[in-house]
Amino acid sequence: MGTPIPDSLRLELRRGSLVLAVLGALRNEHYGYTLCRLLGDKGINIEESTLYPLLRRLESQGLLTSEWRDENRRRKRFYRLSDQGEIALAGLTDEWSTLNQALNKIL
Amino acid sequence: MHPLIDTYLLHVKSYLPRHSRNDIAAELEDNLRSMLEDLAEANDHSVSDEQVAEMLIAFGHPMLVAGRYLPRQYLIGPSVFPAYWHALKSLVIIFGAIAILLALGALVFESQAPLAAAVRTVGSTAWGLLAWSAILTAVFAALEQSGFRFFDSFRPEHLSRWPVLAPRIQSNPIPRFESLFDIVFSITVLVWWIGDFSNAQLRFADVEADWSTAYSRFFVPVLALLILGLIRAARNLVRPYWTNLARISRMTHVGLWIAVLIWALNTPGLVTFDAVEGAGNPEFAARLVAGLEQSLPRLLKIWVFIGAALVAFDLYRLLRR
Repeated sequence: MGTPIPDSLRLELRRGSLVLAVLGALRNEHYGYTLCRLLGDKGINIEESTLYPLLRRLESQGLLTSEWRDENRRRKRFYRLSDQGEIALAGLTDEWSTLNQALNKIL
Repeated sequence: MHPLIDTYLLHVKSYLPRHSRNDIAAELEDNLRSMLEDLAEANDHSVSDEQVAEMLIAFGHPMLVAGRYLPRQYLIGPSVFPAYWHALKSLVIIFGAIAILLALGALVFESQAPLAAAVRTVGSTAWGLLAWSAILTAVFAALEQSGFRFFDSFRPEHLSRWPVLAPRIQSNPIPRFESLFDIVFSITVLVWWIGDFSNAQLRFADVEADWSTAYSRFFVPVLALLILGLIRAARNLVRPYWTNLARISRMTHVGLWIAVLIWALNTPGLVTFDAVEGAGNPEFAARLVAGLEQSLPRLLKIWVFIGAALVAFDLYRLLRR
């Protein structure tokens, strides 16, 4: 069992990595609800009320594209990584690896 | 869908920006519908109002949910906040000092109901502080909005060697008890000094102390020094550590006291002691008068010496840093 740590520290640590997780997951198309469940299944728990504004922000930055489509007779908004998002994801992944290696050396 | 969810979405929409309101609400509605379906599936297709309410509570208050879509989530951000906080603290100190001075002014110069006048003065100064704080907040919020950055042009060589508010000698604290004692002492002496001015006579045992007319020349300087002492003690209570400014302030204050004491020493007959007529023990009263006449100048000289030592100590500490 891990040592209990304050929620604020945990959230601060996770905040930056959420963008990377969302961009990575959206190499395949998803709508918000399935994306949230997918991330949760992979161990990245994120509240819907946090995820949706993040998706909007990433879309406004040009990293995601979205479109409304019908699925199971329901209108859903599907998100996917844009070309710009692909480049950003590659850059962020490199950054993450460098950081991870550096931290492993320290920890 | 569900009346609770409909109401919830209506509230979320009311807090959303107009141009994206319907789009965001449609997406949230789809999400809540999916959550409701999952909930129904997990409960044999029966969902109570209580369960829906719990689901919405977990989703968050409508204002909070909508707020996350707003482009700006704060009024004053971290790059402007330190300057704002510093300005706000300065404002409180300035208004605090003004309130103390005006209240003391009211106590001294208001002939009718001086206490009520002092309370009124403090009240109106507090309202002024509130109004100026609001203006200051609005100005800094506007600076934040405009993208102004206070600290981008920072140059170490432009830093003042004499910061006014920032502590310089944090390892050298001033005990709060000492400051509280100074405040109580200053107020007590101040009240005595103001109250006794019109009736400048002291009586103890069988001896009367009479002030000469020269006393009136000392009234304002001593009053000013007592008020200055009160302000210094209040400052030390709020900021209980020595800064260069605090040391310079004490040196000046003590230096002025020394000047007044030397002036008093050189004013012959400032206070005269006399045995009260019909004293129970005239011999003892006469000895007491003689003793007081001799010891008062000595006492003043001792105070001058202590004051000079204090100034020298402060000067040494300042120069050493």
